[in-house]
Amino acid sequence: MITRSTYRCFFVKRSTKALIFAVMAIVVASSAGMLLAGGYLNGSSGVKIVDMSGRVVQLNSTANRVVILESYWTEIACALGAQDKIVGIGSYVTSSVFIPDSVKNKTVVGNVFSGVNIETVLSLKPDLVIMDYGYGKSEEIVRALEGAGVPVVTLFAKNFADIANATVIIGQALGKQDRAQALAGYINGIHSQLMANASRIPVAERPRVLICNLDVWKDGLIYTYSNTSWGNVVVDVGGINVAHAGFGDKSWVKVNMEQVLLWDPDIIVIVGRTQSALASQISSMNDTNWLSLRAVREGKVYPVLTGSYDRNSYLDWTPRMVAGELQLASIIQPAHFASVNWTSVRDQLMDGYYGYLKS
Amino acid sequence: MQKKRILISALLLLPLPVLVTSLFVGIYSIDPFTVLSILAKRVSDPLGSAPWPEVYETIVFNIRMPRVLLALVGGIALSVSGASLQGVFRNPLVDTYILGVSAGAGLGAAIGIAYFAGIPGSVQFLSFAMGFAAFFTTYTVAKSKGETPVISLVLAGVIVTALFSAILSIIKFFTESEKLAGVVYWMMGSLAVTGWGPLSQTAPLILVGFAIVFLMRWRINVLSMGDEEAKALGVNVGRDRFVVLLASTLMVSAFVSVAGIIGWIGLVVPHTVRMLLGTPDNRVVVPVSASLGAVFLMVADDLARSVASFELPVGVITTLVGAPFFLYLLKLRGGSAWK
Repeated sequence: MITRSTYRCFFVKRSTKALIFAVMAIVVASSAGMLLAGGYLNGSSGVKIVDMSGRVVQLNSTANRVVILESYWTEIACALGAQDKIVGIGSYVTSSVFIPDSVKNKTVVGNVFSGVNIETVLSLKPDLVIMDYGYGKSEEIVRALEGAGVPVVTLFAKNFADIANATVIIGQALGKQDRAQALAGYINGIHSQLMANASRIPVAERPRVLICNLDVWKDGLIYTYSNTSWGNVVVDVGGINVAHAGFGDKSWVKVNMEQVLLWDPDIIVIVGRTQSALASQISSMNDTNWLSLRAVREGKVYPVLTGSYDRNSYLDWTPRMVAGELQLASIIQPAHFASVNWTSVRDQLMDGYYGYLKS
Repeated sequence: MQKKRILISALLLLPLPVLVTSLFVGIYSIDPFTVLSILAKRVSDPLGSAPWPEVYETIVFNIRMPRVLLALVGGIALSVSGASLQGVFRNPLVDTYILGVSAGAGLGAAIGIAYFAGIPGSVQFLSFAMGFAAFFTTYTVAKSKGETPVISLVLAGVIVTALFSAILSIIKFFTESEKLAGVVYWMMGSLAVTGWGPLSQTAPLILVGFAIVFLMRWRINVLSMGDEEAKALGVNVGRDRFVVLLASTLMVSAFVSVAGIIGWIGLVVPHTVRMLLGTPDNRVVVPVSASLGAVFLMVADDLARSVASFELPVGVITTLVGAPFFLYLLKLRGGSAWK
């Protein structure tokens, strides 16, 4: 006899099964829908990019009109052969010597520090904006651009791996995947080899290195690179960064001459953006204080160009960094890297990917 | 008298046409008729189809309008603050930032940029909070035996400004170069990249502060006669002065927290109004300053975002435009209107 409780039990069991089946069907259908509509497949269904702040950016296709705010990302885009796709640039792109004039003549839209003219960007009808994130007005700019329907890919380089990663992302966004993979593979290969060689150098053979800039703010203090960019390259190529002792948690440290005398480094690397800046710094070391240092008396002071103001600069957040690392390695560990001719790596890189500078 | 009434009416109504024409201004070329059509369509037929590209509506409603409205309320905040403070302090040289608000707001912003950049809204919150902190510090320092004499407030403001500026210098010294550049640009003042968010946070505070000052404008006249005369007329000098200062600080802190430090408006606009109207009577100076301040900042921001493909700091424009115009008026009318 079917009682109410039996009926209820039977009905509940049937309902539960139906509910489970319905939920599974919904999940499967949604997943299929997302897979198809969300552009997880490249090619005709769109391009999905995961940028360096973890944001997923969906493009209908690879970008043909792009605005790039920073000089280093613009340089990478040019190295990948995508300069024709650049329709707008950031304020500081115009000062780079590694970017062709055809790109530097594009419309300037602003920068992450002072802000971007959103209307100017919109008037250029870009498919994509590539920019730094994590400082200045980057958050507001991304919000304003995405609010206006412009996709944004955000990048930020804190170490060598980030440069290669950014290269791949830019290549993916601009339809230059193959060339980007080739370039990233090339610089990663050299960097890995360098790191492997440097790791085998005994601690006792690692010189104590001060890497600094003497006239950043023209206030008489010495601007040293600690846990950042060139500061860490010193360690990567087999040196000991004197600033890491006591200031290892800081990116840049401004110190006075007393601190430098206390450190008494074996090697001093002076960095600057132009030849004249380096010359000015070197000449300022011709005084009693600096001459008290052993490194200065022994002539172990080496000027190295950084950034993108001079064609001989290789320490920068671009693929040129690999040549810059080798350049520093030849200074800091000349014996261990005697067999490495950093200038031929430099020439290979420049011929292979920076040929546009010759035209 | 009739001419003056007409002039006052015209000045009070001026912000509206300037607001509309500011919507025509921008790098993205949209003809004025289309802009007006877009505005009309939003009112009459918001969901209907449009003969213009969708990006036009994005530009008019999401980019230009919130920015122009922010310039409008910001101009009100700075000019009304300047007018009221000049009356309260009985000093024509007093500007919006006399109580240390700009130094406090700048310090707050620097702390936000240097140490809390990853937290959304931190710069705005800290800037607002520190602007208020500077005001309360000034007021507390100036208070003596239950009273806050004007001269004490001025001196306390100078001290607090110096103190907060010194702390700001220390923050700048220890800040990394990228963030330091952010601090420097913030201090220049800009209405770029605003949007409805900052406007919705700021406008209510500014309008509340303006309402308070507007309602107290005749009391500011009495306060400007001096403490003894004001007391003799039955005014609670300490309370009323505090309320005006608080309202002024509320307006300025709210605006500075989103736009940075935009100077000169609080000084130039009220004096311009006094010269144009030939009277220091705050019953007209306050509302007309609000109107003219709004117009001035809207026009300055129109220039900042249209003279080049990138953005110029609007604070630079207000100084470059305001100072020569003020000089012209000074030569023409002299300082007689202040009396």
